[in-house]
Amino acid sequence: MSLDVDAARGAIERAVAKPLGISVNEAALRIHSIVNDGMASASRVQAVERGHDPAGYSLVGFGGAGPVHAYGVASRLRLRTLIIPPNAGLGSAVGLLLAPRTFRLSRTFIGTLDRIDWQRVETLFAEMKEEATAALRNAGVTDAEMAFDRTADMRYRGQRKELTVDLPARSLKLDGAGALRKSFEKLYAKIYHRTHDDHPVEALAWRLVAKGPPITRQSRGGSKTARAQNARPRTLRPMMFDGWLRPRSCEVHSRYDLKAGHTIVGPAVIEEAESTTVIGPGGKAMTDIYGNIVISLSGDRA
Amino acid sequence: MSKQPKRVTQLEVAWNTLISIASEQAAAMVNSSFSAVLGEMEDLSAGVFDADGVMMAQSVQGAPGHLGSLSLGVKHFCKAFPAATLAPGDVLITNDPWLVSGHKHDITVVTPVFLGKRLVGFTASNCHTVDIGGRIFSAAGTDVYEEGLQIPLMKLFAAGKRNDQLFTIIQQNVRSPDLVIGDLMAQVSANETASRRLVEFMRDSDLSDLRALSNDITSRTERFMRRAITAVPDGEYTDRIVLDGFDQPLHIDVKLTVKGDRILVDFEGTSAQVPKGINCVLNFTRAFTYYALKCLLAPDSPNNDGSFGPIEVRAPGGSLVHARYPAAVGGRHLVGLYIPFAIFGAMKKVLPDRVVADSSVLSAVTLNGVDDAGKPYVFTFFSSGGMGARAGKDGLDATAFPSNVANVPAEIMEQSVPVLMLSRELIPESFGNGRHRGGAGQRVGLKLRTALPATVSCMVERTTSAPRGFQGGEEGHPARLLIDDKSIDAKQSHLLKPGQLLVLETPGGGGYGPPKHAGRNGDDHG
Repeated sequence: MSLDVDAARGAIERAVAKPLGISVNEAALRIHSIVNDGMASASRVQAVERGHDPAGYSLVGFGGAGPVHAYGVASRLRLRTLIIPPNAGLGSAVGLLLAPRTFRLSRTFIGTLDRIDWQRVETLFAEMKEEATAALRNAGVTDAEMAFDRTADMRYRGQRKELTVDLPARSLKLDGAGALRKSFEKLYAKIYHRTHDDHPVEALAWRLVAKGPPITRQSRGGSKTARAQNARPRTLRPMMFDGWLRPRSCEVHSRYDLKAGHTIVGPAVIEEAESTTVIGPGGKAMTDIYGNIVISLSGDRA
Repeated sequence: MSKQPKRVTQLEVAWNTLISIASEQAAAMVNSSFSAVLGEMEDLSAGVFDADGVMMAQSVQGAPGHLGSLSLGVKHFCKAFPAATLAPGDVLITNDPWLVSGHKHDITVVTPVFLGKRLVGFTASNCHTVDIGGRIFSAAGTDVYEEGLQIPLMKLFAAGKRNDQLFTIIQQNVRSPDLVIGDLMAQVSANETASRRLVEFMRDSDLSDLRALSNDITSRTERFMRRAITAVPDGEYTDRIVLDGFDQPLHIDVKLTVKGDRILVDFEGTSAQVPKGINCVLNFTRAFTYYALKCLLAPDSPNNDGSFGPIEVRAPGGSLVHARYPAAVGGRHLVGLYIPFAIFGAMKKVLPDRVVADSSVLSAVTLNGVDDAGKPYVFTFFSSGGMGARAGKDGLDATAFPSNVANVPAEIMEQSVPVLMLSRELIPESFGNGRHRGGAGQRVGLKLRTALPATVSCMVERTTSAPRGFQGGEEGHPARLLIDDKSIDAKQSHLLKPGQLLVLETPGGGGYGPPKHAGRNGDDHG
């Protein structure tokens, strides 16, 4: 698909640049920036609504325009790592075929931590494990390849929404109450900045995630290891990033040139048929053996 | 980042960030809440203010009765607690009806925000608490003293230290202390979430003070509002809306004078305040006036103090819409929620495409008793009737307007109180017909699941005065409240015995425009 650059410049000039008395380049950059900001704000509200703190997560940029904005969104959320999978525009379809075989089971069993019957909790987990093991075997996973994670949905008794807390693999029969209250309050304080001392904590649902191994893929270029080396750009093109007064010449790469271990230092863009990946100034990208572009953010905003 | 003249776009980014901080604040409040009022019905608001108490942004979620009243409330806090009296870790509180949103159930928590040691702003939240002692949430009070615990402007936390005495007093005075204190702490947490984000935002944007930004935001919003008012033809527009009242009907009279870029809203002629808990303090009247005019003139502009500058509200002291202390105000929404319809009624001639025909507003029923385990319970459920029709669309069924409080799911009710919900259904014949029809009301039927009777406190309006249709649309059906098929007083407390069936029928919304044919369906519904 070819884009009409002159028509785009004309539209931005008429609608934004002229009325604000700024240059077309600056107007375009500001539009990009406002869009990134809106997405970052929405992500934050979403994160709080679901009881997560975005810090510490990596952002996966997918969809046609995802990689265009992902760097700007990630830097606003202060994330350190951004991953752009290959064929980012086809993310879900490919992911469905490649995700590890996983079964998620849950049992409702409500009780406050100081009173709950831990024997019953462990029995529920044992039942779920048995069920999940059979399902995984049926899906072709051997017992040695299986991995299990246990979580519980918990809240202060009477509260409207729960938080999902990771549980230790060891038996809860010994000190379930103490360990769970501690994990719950640690997570609660991280999200809500306060804890309700002396208020009973209750668990509502017990969950088991049973996973098979990741489906192994042929690495790109056949190699299992990657040697770091600088990627060579196809061309240079004038670009503008936040804080720049005028465009500067920046690298344009083709994603199809990138081999495992290839590195690119931002500012740069990587073009492919389905999308364009933007790397802000100071961002460092490296292609891994699966063809993912893994970008470490510099901490500056883009 | 360079300091080049990118002011406008930087402003938009900063502005959106402030709105998102207020929305995060509201989300944190809902998620960490304990009661259904907060968690399901979301009867709350949250806002971010500068150091002078100017509201820069309000959460997208929020009740319209809090629009403007939260902002007016924070100004009282600023007066009572000058910067020199505040320290990091302070959290302030009040539920004074005259200072914020008009009844004691609304608890306002204000957290001063410090950048280093300097006061740079406030985050504030206002929530309807499940109980505040006194009479249950009701309109039956004769003065404000009957309506529960009064919390003056105070510190709930001082430099991070909990005011244990105040917590103890609150705990001792309310019927469900766990829920009340839990929700209160949800407000404290939410304010803190927003305060941290505000400081982070200031550090990121290299701001040491918010006032210039605040001024930029409010003056732009005010200009926008003034332009919108200028587009309305100058003139005087009047309406009277009649309410059920108690012994005799009551009325709200309004006259809007539009002149250039300003509007004067005068409630001269409105009934005098009554010795029942339905009186509105001026703050609450202002909130619903602002809300109605914002709906008409600038529905998409963000909420901040700028919207209110061009609007002057006058109401005779001692009237139903400007009640004097110590009037009873517990069920003030039974009057306040009608203010927008009086304003829409007045403006329908000049803004026919923007008004909404009369809606059912909100019906509140509070159940209070002791369950079979001997534990006291109190639970208010709001039920929405039909919304009025609009010029281009039917009214929404069982949707509250102008309040946006949500219906409580039957499952949540049955978990919260020992009742069995026997029915919840739309009432097809309840709406006013028209070119566009009003929304249908709903019928809710329930019985107790206990051996002991419960007290049912009702705050239901429009049992005699039906929601009006506009521009030739028909009126909706009024509300009904029945125990075992016998009609009961909709603003009193009653005893509900085990086995008795309580039925609430909420009103249908008014229609818009003359009906095309004598069917019950508007043209959007076949």
